[in-house]
Amino acid sequence: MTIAEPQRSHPSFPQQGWVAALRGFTRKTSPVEAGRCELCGAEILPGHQHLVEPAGRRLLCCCQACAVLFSNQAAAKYRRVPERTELLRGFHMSDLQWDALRIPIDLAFFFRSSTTQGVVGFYPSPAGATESLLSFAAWEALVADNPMLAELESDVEALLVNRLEEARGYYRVPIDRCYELVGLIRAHWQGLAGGAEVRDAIRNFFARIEEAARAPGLGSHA
Amino acid sequence: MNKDESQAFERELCRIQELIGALEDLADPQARERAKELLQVVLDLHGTGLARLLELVSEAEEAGQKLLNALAQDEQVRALLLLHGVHPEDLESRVRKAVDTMHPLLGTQDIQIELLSVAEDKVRLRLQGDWQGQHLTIETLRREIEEAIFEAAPDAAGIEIEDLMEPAARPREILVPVSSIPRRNKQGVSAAES
Repeated sequence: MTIAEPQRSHPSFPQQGWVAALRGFTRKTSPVEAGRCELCGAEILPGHQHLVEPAGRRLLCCCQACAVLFSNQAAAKYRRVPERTELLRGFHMSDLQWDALRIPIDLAFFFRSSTTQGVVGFYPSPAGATESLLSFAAWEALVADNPMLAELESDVEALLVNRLEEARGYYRVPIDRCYELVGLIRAHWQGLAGGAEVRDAIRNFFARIEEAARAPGLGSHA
Repeated sequence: MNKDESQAFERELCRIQELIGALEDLADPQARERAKELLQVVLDLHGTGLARLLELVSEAEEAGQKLLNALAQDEQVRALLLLHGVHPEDLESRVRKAVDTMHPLLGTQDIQIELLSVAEDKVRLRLQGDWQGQHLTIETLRREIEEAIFEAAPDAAGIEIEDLMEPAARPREILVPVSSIPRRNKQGVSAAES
């Protein structure tokens, strides 16, 4: 070890050794992808579509054929998840309105449930999606300021709110995107406060959402 | 290895971390997952083969042991052993050896270094001493220590150095005799004696 030589020939990565970095990188972090349509068993590729079963609030992976079949039915047991992703510019939500919704963290999604005939709120946690009891009045106040919320298709579309730190992002997204976010957070969470990895995962997620919002039709998601 | 080979080797190790960073930043999660999976499968293949290779070597008893020692000393083979977790010395003992090597050099700066713990592959060190800070900046000192540790233990997941303060901030424990404090005489000229 030389004491007197300040110059190094390469940039330094002080956080961890290269072996630790490789191990961290290859560690399996994301959930295993479904390879089969849950309705007909046909093989499906990543980027496949999803159906929602409102009764169980389940997401099912499905092939193109089943997706089309189910989107044509009226009183459906399964509902097709649309692909529309929109950044809601001009969305109004004051800090007071956010507090009134009483979500414990600054990240949540809200959708109309056909089974309960009301709006439900969920937030991601290390244990998965956690339901948060919503005040009817608080939601109605939000709809009054943002009439587009009434247009959200029940069960399959959600308002996704990102108020982490300085962010104030409001999105209209397909419900499977919300569960994708939940899955990411659960997979990357470390320790008590989450850690840098989950922060990065969340940041990348919203970058992808914004890109999908800019380029509709290109964003076929996993 | 000669100096050129050594530098090229170090650049390659850095390149690994650069590429990991680039892949983590990939917007396409699918591509990233595929890349991770390929890397893991290839590493597993090598790891299994290497473990088996070492088994065969150790079966050669004395000659085998001699060979194992030589393998662990060679810089390039050592990297392979560390990567696959088959190096004969565990993380803690390698870190301890590295810390022991640093004692005399840091001692010339009146710094004592102590290994506190190696839990979950995270190395915790403590520095103590009446440090003058004449020859080193804090950053250089930290970097030198980190490089020495990561050199011996690239499988360390992090290094924490306690009590690494700027020299000016360290409270001096030497008592200053009252008689040595400068006094000003009537003309305003200081008449210090120290």
